[in-house]
Amino acid sequence: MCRFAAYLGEPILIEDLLYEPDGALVHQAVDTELMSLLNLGGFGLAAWDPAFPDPTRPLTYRVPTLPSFDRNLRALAGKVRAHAMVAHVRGVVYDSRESVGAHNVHPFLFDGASFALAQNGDLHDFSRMRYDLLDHIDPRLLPMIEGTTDTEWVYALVLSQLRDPFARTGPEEAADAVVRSLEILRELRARRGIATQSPVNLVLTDGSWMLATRYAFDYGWYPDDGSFFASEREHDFTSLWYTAGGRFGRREDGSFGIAPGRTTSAVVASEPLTKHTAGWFEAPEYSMLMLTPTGDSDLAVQIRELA
Amino acid sequence: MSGAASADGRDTPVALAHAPLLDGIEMAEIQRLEHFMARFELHPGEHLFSQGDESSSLYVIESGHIDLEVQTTAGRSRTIASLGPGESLGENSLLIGGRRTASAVARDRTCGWILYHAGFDMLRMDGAAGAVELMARLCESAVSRLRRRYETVAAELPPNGGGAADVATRQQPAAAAAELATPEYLLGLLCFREFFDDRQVQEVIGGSTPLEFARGAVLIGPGEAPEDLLLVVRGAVDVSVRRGEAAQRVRLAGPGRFVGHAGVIERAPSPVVAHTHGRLVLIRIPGERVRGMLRDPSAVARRFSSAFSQDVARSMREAERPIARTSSRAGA
Repeated sequence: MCRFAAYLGEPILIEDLLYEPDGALVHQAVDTELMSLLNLGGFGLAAWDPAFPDPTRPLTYRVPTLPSFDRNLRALAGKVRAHAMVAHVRGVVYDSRESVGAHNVHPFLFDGASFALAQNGDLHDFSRMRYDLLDHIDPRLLPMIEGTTDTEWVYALVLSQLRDPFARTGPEEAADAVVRSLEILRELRARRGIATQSPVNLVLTDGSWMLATRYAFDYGWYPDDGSFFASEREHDFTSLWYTAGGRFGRREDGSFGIAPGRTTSAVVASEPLTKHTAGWFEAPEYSMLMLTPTGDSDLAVQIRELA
Repeated sequence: MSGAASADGRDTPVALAHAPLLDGIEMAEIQRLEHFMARFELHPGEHLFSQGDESSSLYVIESGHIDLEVQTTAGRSRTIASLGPGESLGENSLLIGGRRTASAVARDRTCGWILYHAGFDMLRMDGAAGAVELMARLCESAVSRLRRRYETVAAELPPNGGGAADVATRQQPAAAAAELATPEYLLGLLCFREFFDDRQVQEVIGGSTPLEFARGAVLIGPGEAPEDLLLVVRGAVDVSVRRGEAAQRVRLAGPGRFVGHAGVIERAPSPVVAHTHGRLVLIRIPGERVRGMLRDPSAVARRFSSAFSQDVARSMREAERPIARTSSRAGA
């Protein structure tokens, strides 16, 4: 279980998402409000901006270390602006069997694919169903899977539901691909008899639109063992929050947040990035949040129910 | 309290006896409770606390009115509830932690009593008659407020449509397999985490047998007065409010959560409808037993009452959360 924060809107410094708010993502690596696990398994970022060379390709930064101690990231974040970002701190169970490394750090972005994906979730017993996915993944994508996380396989699965995984994709087609992927995962879990709670909070963006799901398979069916996931019974449905409005940044009174006014910016995150949560909304359980440009620099915020 | 006149030292038990919440409680008990409480006074417009504040106290209004306000994205304030004499506020944060989810502002000259965190923790496990009665009344007040909150959410729904299709049906449950509700598993549930052992759990649930339901089973229908409190063991219950054809989920109750608080405590039609979200195992705790435990001084009943109050607080927070509405339905 991890934490992510994603941004779409008026250009802001990367540090405005990662460091400046009192509940910023880098702080959440070691001090979250809504979960008990520390996120020690690495940090990743993809950021887009029209001023970048080849603006359809994001700046990416993925390291298996703690962002709290990363001076290079801190320096970079204070100098680079972006109009779209997805950043992620990876939470892994404290167990030597976990595979921690750059190959497992989110967000994932395959060469030639148009959008990146990160997850706050975990497909229980994924090792039992991993290779069942082979039938549903475009063979061209298989060699690109480098790591061992369920998320990278889910990313390949979502791309495989597109007409062309290597073409520019609109938000509607990407949303349909996510829905279809969830259906496939449900079918494969049923075939393997996997009926244990598995949250799948995904965030996807190509720098112009953004999707995020708040979803879980078999919510409320915890494993009967002493694992971290058994103890998850004390926590609520894996959270997803967003705020939308004017510019995201520091206000005149010193507080951090979204400015009132037209919807030109939005932040989507596993939990609010500010301790004062006014202006943040919780996405409903079993829903997909869609942020799409409407012209005139505005964003449309739409929420679809997922059955 | 920001900018308000604060506690004026030790008050007489006679003054505390005038608090509507303590009506009928013996003077000796009130004198004892007085050690846990202090007085507050506010002028119109003064804040008792602000949204986002760390929380450490519960407040009982003796006279006057307090508006609960939330800040919107546009920077304005919206009043979500108004509380008057005899009502309490702030217990959610004491029971389940977290920051204040709304600001509390005096509408007129208001005074009342502060119960600090340490005192509250002592009282909720206290078996003395006055403490038990105070905790029971606070719980009933919170349940009443939860009902009103659900009614407000329902009233804000569009009168014609906009909610989920009603596909739930009546089903006959089956006895759940024993391994789905072992004593060890039940003891690990959220509502029993202050219990010492599974014998105490059994004392609460009595001889109730775990039942298994399939997806889409109606548990509480529109306008029904549930006779039993439902304890979710595995799976989840979809709890929603309705207005005509429109419906909105107010909570998804997972393992260790209760469903049917208001209907059971008030012995009245439930303000919500409930159906299984997927496969579900639950235990029915008879309403009479629940109401009895609220005023039972035994240690087990105190623990149950505390867990029940915490669940009411969680439900209130879920009903107050600024949750977004869905605009369309997709597959998956």
